Amino acid sequence: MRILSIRRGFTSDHSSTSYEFLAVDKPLTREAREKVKALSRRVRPTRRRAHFIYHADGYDIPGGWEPLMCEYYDVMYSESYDWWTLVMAFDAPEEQQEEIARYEFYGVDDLGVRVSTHESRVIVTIHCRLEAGAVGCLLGDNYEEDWSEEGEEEEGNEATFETDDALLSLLTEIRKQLVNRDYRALYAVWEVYGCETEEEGEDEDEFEPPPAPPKKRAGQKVIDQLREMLETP
Amino acid sequence: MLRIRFASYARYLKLSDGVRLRREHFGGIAFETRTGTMLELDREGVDLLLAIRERGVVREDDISDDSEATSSRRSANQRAKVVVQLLALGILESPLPSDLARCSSDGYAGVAERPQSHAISWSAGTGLSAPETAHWAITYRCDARCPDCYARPNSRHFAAELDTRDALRIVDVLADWGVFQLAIGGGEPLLRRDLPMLAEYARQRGLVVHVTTGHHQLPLGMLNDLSGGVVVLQIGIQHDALLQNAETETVLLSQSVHAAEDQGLHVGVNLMLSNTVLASFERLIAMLARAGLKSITLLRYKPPAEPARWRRENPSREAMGDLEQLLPEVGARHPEIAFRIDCAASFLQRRLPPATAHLAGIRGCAAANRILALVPDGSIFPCSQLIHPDLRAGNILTDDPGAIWTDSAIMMKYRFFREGSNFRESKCGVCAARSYCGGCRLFARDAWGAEPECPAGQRTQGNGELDYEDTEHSTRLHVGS
Repeated sequence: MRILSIRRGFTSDHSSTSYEFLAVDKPLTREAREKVKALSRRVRPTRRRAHFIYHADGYDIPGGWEPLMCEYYDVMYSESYDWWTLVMAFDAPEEQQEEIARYEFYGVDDLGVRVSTHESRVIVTIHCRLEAGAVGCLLGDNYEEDWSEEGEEEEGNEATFETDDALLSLLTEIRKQLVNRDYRALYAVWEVYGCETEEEGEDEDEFEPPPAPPKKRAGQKVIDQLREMLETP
Repeated sequence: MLRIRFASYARYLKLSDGVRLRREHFGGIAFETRTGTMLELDREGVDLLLAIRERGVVREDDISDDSEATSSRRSANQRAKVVVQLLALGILESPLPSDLARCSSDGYAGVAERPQSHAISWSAGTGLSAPETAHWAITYRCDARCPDCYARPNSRHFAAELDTRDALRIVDVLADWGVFQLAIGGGEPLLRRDLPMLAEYARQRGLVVHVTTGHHQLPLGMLNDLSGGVVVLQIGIQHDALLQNAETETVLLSQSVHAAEDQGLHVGVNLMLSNTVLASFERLIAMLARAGLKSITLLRYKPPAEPARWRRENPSREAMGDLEQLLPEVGARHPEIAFRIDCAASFLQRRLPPATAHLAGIRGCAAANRILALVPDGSIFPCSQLIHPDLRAGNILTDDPGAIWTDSAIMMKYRFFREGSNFRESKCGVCAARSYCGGCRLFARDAWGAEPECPAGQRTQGNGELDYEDTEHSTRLHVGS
């Protein structure tokens, strides 16, 4: 049973599209921040973070978010009409790119995992819906504080930057696992959004489930947290 | 097939009073007449709502499926989630047990009757069984001489108006057909003295009535008369007047908006995106915000009577690109305002991910698809921008509207324009946004090709959108000019 579309009527209710970017491996240079800033007069990128929000229907970052993940940022999440996009980017050798590509799938309602590569850069995108309760717990960060001059100073050059945005932190942890060739998180997404496709026998001849990663204790908390957040279709 | 079981616990559900249901080939549409919210549901979803409507009031866990024994727990969870969404959207209500007696006395069946499974025959086809909205230019008479009016040239061919009796017949035809909304415009519809009575009758017949007027100043008596039937009052902004007499016109608008809201009307404005408007866009939006507007529909500039004005005022692709950059800023400055975009400018929404666009019900051109247009004599057209003798599909009072809707070559041509080779081979035809944009047929070259004013850039976008460079900026209109 599904609601296929919801069009708001004449009551003045409207949605927005927002993005949170984080540079994990290295902070943005002044020049890079200027380039990000040029995309929108309202974005105020710090050395590590950038936040975009669009209130008009159909509006988005000029050129899309993907070039930003190729060039500057390592994790990102975005919300639009209650649809969430969770993104992690990192450099990987060709062999690993092929490994990750096996976890790509289009599940129910086009939710699932997409993998794109740009030379050595791999961008892993999870399209999902999040449980309302989980969203409320995760989004407690005060970005404005992050923007302050003090925040600028605090955002140093260390290689492993930590943020107090819980969802960005979770994505940073998942990214670490992916970099270390641990794909349990992507498999967990498949278990939530991909299984039904298999059960229904859609594209039976072509469908190949992603390989089940080996189970292990280390890092399981991260996987459990992700799984609990995902709203089941 | 859906059935209702009987159990002894859980919350009660009923279809909200203002909701209308219509079955379609994919499932169906639920329309909330009090908010205008429109949902498309799959067959199982519509089945559920029809069953609840049939029963009056049901307990949530009495709802099950014939295939329940074999269906997974996942299906039950999914159904429960859909019910939660339907409750949040006001499609369903959850009466308290103490209210059940009142529900029954109000005509609801109550929970004690035996269930009746209903045989369902799903229609075939790929189009809607009827329009969602009928746009009716009830008169082409007008007491203003707005230089940007696109409707005035239509009066050359379709000036004849129906009398009240035939106008009421049109309302009956639309209501019987299953149309949800009636958008009355003109000309100036307030010149029809029978407008309040027609609107009230339409409302009684279950239609949600919108009226678009060009008057900034609306007398209280008139608003009072309209409030019996009209749900949404849309004011066409005369931007020249607003820019020239900013203070006076803003006050007039503000008074009209507040007086209309006091009468229970939802009020919005239409702002036509001419070059003059774009040049003062931020200022105009600020004035409209000061006047208390919370809904602004941005209409694409359509060809007026004077070709010279058209050439002067029609925004270029670059100007639309500038608007595209500016609109998010303006939207952020006025978060209280809902900006809506005319489907003729749906290229402004082309960056949405396809799944998001589809979930939000964005489908691009609505001609002969979600809408149908009527002119004062009852003639039928695919869209209120496509009024020309060559595009007349019939007359709603003398022909079978259902047959015209499903079989007319004109309707079919516009409804399925994306399937034509001219479109498929055009730049719009290979754009990632083709299923929810596709451009406006009024502006497209030879009617079926690419949209010339789309401001899409000159490189492939990171979001997968195939952009293109369109070197020909001139717009050639194929009809009506």
